[in-house]
Amino acid sequence: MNPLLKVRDLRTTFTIGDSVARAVDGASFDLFPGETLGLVGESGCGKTVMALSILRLIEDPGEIVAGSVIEYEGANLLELSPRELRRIRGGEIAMIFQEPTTSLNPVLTVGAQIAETLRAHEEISREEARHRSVGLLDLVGIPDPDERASQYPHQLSGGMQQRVMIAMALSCEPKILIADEPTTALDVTIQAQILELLAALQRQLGMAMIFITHDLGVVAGIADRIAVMYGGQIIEEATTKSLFRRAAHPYTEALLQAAPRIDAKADRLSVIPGAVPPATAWPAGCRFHPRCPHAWEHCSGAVPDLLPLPPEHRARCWLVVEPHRRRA
Amino acid sequence: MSRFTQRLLARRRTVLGLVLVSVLCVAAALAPWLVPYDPTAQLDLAGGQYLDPSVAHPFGTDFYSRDLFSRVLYGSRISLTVAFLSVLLSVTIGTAVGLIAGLAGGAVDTVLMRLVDAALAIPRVFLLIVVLALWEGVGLWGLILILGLTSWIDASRIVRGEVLSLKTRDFVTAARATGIGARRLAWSHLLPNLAAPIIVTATLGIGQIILTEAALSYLGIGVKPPMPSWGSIIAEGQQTLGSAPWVATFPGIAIVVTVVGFGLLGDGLRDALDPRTR
Amino acid sequence: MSSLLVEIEHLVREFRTDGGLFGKRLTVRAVDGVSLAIGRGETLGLVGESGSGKTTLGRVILRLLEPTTGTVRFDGEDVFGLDRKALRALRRRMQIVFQDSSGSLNPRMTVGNAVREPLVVHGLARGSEADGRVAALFREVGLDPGYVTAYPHELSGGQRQRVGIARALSVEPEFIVLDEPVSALDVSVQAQVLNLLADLKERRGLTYLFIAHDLAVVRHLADRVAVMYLGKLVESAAAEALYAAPLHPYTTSLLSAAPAPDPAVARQRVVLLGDAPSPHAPPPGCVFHPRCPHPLKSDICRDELPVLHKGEGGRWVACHYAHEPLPVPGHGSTSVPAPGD
Repeated sequence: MNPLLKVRDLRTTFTIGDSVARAVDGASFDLFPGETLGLVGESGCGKTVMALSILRLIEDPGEIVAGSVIEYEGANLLELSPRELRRIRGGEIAMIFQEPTTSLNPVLTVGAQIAETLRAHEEISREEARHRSVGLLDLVGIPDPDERASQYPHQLSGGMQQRVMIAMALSCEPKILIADEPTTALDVTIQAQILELLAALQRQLGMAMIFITHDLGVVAGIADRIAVMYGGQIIEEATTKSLFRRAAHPYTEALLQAAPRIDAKADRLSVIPGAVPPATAWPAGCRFHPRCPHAWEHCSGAVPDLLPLPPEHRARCWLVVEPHRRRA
Repeated sequence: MSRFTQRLLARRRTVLGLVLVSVLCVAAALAPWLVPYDPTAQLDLAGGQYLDPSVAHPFGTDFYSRDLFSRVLYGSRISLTVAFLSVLLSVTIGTAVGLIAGLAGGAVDTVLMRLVDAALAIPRVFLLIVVLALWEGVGLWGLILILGLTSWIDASRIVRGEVLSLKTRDFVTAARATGIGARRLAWSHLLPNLAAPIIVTATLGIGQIILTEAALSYLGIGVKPPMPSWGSIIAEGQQTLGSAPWVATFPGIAIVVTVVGFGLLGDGLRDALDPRTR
Repeated sequence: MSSLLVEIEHLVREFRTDGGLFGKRLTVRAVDGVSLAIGRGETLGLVGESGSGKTTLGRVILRLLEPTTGTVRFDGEDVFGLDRKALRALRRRMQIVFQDSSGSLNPRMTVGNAVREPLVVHGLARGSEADGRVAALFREVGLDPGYVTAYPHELSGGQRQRVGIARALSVEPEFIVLDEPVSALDVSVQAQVLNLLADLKERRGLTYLFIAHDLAVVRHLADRVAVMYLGKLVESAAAEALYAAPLHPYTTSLLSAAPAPDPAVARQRVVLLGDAPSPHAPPPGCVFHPRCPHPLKSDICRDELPVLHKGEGGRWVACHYAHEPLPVPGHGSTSVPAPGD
């Protein structure tokens, strides 16, 4: 099967004065139709910048470095004209964000905002657009959709606002939905509702989804495959089952052990020593080596590629080729 | 270069304001040494009246054959001194009132704010005119005092607003949780965070006061002759606008340049200091 | 000396919203008749979502907000009856650590001074002695004392949080309210701070009120857990008991909604119906009933307010059907897979 989205060697930098922050520094992955790819990482790993880069939403002082490839259905998005790009945005690839309150226009009714998206992509009348907006609000599980369509964002709760965002994103039936931490700002019970909704809609519409989060628990429930990011690169990629059964990269392992579990109580949480380095000064060699319990001299010299760990696993770590170096 | 300086110099307008203000301040400070002639000296009553601007007299001369450039230059010293000191006084009073009202809240706040409203009801310019006209020998210090006492309202409202918003911040709650009293809270926690809006208000206030003082001097009740003030020089040059326009024009330009300079600088400072635009 | 350090009885805190030009002034009961006790040396986890009133409760206990009605006793003393001087003295014994949204540290004050100030205010140390104590506190929370001259914005979220903890510790309190102290931190940093809090508690014999919305985090640190919903306490129990077998349907749905990093755990969530109701107009009867997924839910839930009643093993629950609790789907202790398994 051919991938729907092919990202190869994506590099996005931010230049302020003399310093260059390499927010995304050589990321590559595939996204297949209908699947959910979980993109996991902590702050500073570059996951949001990567999402914005896919839709070319990066503005000065940021720029996507030449040589990056983002192919959607065979066409390189980085070479499209503004008009073609606008067709893709919202029409083929849609995005929802973390904070619905700031992503929704406070002075337009929610119905109007959805209708606006529809009319930007299709030639339909106002009434038709309104009719479909109400239909979309119903699709995302908002009760009394006709009434709600005439309300303003501040009149809706956080969970409802996020549903409106989802309705807007799905209005043109995109093939890919990029969800950037869509539930992080929501209460746990509302988060559960939204996750169920996204899963149901995805099944219904046959849509592929890139789900960005820092929460391994969330991604365990929703993703088919997971890519873990650190230092602007993807450092591990595997099916969900495979990743949780046995994480290959020491960073992923450490993350799993550092997270307090709801279903078990650990005596002491294991800690990753040190801190995430700044994007202006990534360490030489493997980005994680200064904090890695297994690192040896080789790690500070050469940057590992995403080395394969059959059958479904890849990790950017020298332990893949020299597993005996793993310390007990 | 610190981030603040970077932000300040980022916009050309702000740099212009900074340059203008700096030049003015330096000129005013060094005026006694920079003036080619004594500003009050009548150089040549016989043939030196209303001379056109020339190399010897860049701004020309006036009715009393006094060199206009020296007068305008010296006038900057006087206008800026009056402005700085009045603004210092008004901002101090305004900050104190705003701080007390915002911090105390409740009845104190209500009373103080009603006082402010009452003060606002009195037209300032008329009040100034009445007071200055009645009080004859007011002198420069009296003028500064009166201007300061009548201009504190803006500052008080701005400070009060900021204090109300600061009170909701967690670090203020944290400080209260430590058990500190109101005085220490105001001094160590609120004032440092109020510095930015106060500086901006003060800078913009200087421009305002300069205009007010110029108007008063123009009317003859501000800075009194023979001390040169831009306003009084304009008054002097009024009658001869047709024949000797430079007498009224140059001080007018000086006022415009000064007010614009402080205005641009004040705006630039506000943008550079506002944490939200970081 | 009583074994109970903090006793809260029927605490109510109302807020009146400003009607604006044409609106009515509405009253919201952020905390609605909460009674709770915290034992000496215990960590009580207080869990709830937004609008539950847990943050307000934390602040009222410390008297950073005045109560509407109710009492709070700290070591036997009535907190709300104290005069200014006595209250100030009490402030030494109870402290608070905030969620770091970089709002809890004065942006214009160095972090060293922020930690120093309480020492000076209470006359505990001055001059170089104070400097020494500040340095020691920094070391105790895992910060290099070289940071004393730094400003908050120069530090990372985790470092700022440690400063907040150092500040709270400076007056040597017995009781600390931790208001979502790790919610804004990354997982790896969160782990560091949680370990620190556990160590400090043991070393200094502290009592904690740990307010959070993340159930996994609370489980890690709490001895007992109390659950709040819309200003009311709906359940409280020893931590293990609560997580193993919750009695209140809200607790059950909270637990099932919490994501666990293990795809093998069959996640059939107990999904709540609808949105959180408006705090201005709480539903009659049981405040939870409109969203309650309990199969036995009936008219009594709508008509009668369930009273917090005592169950076995020191558990408290406010539900008409607590005797037939909802099971948490697919829940049970799963062993954490060890690396290399």
